[in-house]
Amino acid sequence: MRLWLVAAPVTAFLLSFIVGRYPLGVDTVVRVLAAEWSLVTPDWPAAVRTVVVDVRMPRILAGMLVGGGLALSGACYQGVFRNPLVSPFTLGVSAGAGFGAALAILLFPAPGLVLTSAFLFGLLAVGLCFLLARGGGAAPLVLVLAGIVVGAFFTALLSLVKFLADPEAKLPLIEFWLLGSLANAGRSEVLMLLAVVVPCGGLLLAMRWRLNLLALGDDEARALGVDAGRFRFMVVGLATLIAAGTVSVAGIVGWVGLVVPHAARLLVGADYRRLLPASAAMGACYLLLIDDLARTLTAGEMPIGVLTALVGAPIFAVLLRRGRVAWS
Amino acid sequence: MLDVRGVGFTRDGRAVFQGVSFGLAPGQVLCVLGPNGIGKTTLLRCIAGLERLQSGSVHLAGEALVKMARRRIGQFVGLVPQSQTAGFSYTVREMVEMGRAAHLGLLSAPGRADQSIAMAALDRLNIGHLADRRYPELSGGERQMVSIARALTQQPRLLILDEPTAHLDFANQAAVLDLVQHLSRQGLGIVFTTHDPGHAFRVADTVLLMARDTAVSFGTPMEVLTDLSLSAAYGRAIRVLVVAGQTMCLT
Repeated sequence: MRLWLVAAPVTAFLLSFIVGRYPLGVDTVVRVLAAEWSLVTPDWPAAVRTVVVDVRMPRILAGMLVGGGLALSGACYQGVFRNPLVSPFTLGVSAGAGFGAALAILLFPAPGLVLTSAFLFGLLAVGLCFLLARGGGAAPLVLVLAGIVVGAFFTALLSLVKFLADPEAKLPLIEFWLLGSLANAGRSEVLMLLAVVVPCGGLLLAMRWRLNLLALGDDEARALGVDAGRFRFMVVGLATLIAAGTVSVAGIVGWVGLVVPHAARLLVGADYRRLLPASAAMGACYLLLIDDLARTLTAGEMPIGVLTALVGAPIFAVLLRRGRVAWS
Repeated sequence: MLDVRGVGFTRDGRAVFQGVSFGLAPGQVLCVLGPNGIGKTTLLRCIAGLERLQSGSVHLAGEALVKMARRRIGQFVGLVPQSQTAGFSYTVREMVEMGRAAHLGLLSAPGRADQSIAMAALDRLNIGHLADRRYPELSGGERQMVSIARALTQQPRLLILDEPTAHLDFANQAAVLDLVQHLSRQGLGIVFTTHDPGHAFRVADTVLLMARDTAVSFGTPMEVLTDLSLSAAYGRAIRVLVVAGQTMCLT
């Protein structure tokens, strides 16, 4: 069982290099990668290295980090809210980030600023949820309701920005950003994702046994010596950093954080000690394959947010029909 | 080890109980009695730090409860709640191992030592055979036993049981009372609620009788539980009798 957690992402990682307009064999890819660590001497044209290391590598890594991060984040969200319909976007991180990105595209359209603005507004939205829910003791349901309010507010702000944006130049950029894409993922985006997803994801993975306790309910967790409110805040904080990081790089990629944890639960059960690594591995594979499709289906770029929804919604429907969108 | 002074609780402007004071030494058993809805569970939750104290104070081994971190309370107090959530489909073993949470760091999971503590608790309650069963598949009584095992896995100094005999058959009720006695002899302080005053005579060193109009009496079972006091508390004629050397109550 442990083996596929590593084998599947590695396979998907290698196979994704050979997908694309410039034809490459797996053996070439492996040798080019090995040459990066001076394990073999290059005997191929420089263009091959450019395609593998500079073009496909960042995108593949970004896809895996975004997919794995969103699925991990979603599994954590579902656990601490004890709600199977919750996703990383439930507290408005996507609405906030969408507004932040659109605002930056409208006012200061530099890639770095768009990313930063999306990240910060995503965090701001979730922070507002916690402020709003404080009156209710930050109880799970109150937080979810606050998320609906905050999400609606930022969606309205986003509409306002779209309304003000130049329909010839700016509006298409905003729309394309919102649909989600890894087309712009370069070295700096990957570094940004690594800096956010790896430490936050690592901490969440280290705490995964404790996540089981929150499933028992706040009172039982507290009786066992766990400050449920504070722990939830911490987990949601880390999961939100991941979600905000992935959204600011890839745009709004829906359904991964909702569907993948359910699929993982179906395979390995509800115990977070297995569920969390499985979610991360499956999310990484899933989004990588989706992005491979996005790169190859059409001559242009297909927005991945569209594809994750097109694929994810039917999967979720099947899980629903079979009554498997449950906890046990 | 447990010192409760003048604790009161008001819900929706109505006083549930007021001025409740009592103490408990290590190795002592306190039985809390009173009619339905009188606030027994709320009182236990106050002692376990699950309800905000509205008046009075609770001290655990000289430390003010309100100043203790949740984790510290979890190391000191084990609580067996009245009803257990069905939860996720954890196995009994996994459920009981969760009792180690207060002793483990934020980033750690139960290790071998924790697992054997959990297993020992299961064996002590004679439910070692349930270890690999799924918790939601268990009967109410079995869940109750698992819940007690989990509280013991916390290795608390004070064990609080809310109606531990509620879902149990006659034999298991007696077994739980025996266990209460056994644990107290090992130095554990125990507070439990029950609906049968006979249980108090059987295992309790002290009794807290909660009656209407926030009247509370505290003392030994013999002092507190009389025909008169029980009849007044429950609003129905109750007689205390000694049958075959055992004190019991009849309505």
